[in-house]
Amino acid sequence: MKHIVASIIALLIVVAGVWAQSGQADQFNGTWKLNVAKSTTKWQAHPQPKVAEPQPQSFELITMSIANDTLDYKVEYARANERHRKANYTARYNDARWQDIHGDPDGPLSTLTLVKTNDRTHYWVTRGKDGQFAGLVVRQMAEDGKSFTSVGLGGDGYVQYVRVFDKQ
Amino acid sequence: MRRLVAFVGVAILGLTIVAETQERRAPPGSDHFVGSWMINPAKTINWSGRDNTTFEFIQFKVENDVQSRDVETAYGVADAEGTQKHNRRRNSVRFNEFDPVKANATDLSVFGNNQPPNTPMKTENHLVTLKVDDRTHVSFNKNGGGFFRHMMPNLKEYVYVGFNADGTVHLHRWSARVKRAGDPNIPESPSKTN
Repeated sequence: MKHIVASIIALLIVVAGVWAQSGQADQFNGTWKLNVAKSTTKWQAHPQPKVAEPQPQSFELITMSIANDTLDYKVEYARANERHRKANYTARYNDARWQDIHGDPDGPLSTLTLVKTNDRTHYWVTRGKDGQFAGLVVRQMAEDGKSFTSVGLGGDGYVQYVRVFDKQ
Repeated sequence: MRRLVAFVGVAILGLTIVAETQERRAPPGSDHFVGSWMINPAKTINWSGRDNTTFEFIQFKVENDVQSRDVETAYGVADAEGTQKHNRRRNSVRFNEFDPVKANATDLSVFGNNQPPNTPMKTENHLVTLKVDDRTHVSFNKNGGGFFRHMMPNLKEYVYVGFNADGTVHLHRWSARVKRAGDPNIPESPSKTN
């Protein structure tokens, strides 16, 4: 009887450990707001090659819900004083499948596939409406997990923007 | 008579356009990168300040979604004795495959690369090579960086862009299509950059 109880307890510990590990929240989970001042500073410090002026953005609010390596992404953004626009998509990391971006995405993006290179870094590989390569977006989490930097890279290999988002 | 001449003229124009389009369209199962490419050092920039690639001759093959590459490279200029070291390697990988067993990435140092001849190199850092469209493929490393090759619409040249996980770009290396090593590698006319 003692053996059975000990075995059950050991099994529960193992299962709990696995569950805890799988349930560890992806650091990108949550709501993130564009920090315009930090973005400007980071853009200025970003080395060449980059375009002369970054794509303007005055407001951006991102919500990322990630479970089982699937990212449910929602964004609301505005350029200068223009009206707010919204877009969303759902995609799984590292499945090499192309997912539609719904709504009114920023720039000429139509579909994307997500590549997670490590816990702090993931990429959007994008196509435009013509099905052709439309550039990369790399998102790298700060070591403290409180902010991440998003860098847009055009098909010509020039950086289009550098944006910093703070956790809300 | 005028109508006939006009019809023939339009027909010739139409057939020319169709022929041009057909020439630029990759046959089913093929890949625009297949063939030989020579670096264009005049357009190549190493943004990190390291020695630029001054020689690169690449031959691409793509069969059943497996890209194979044979490349000979040299960097900077000749040494004090007038010798410029060349390096050659052969590598291959299956497109769009995250499973390392199925991707079956290989990398062989044929000569140079500070290795004895025919030394198999490690490929553990390779994460995936995605074929984005007929003119673009992108590779990622597990350390977070990577590169892409994006071909111009004229299919005569492409740019290799190396990038880091923080979004910095360290290399723009331009190559032009050649029929064989030693052919002129500067396109006849400037092309669009996208």
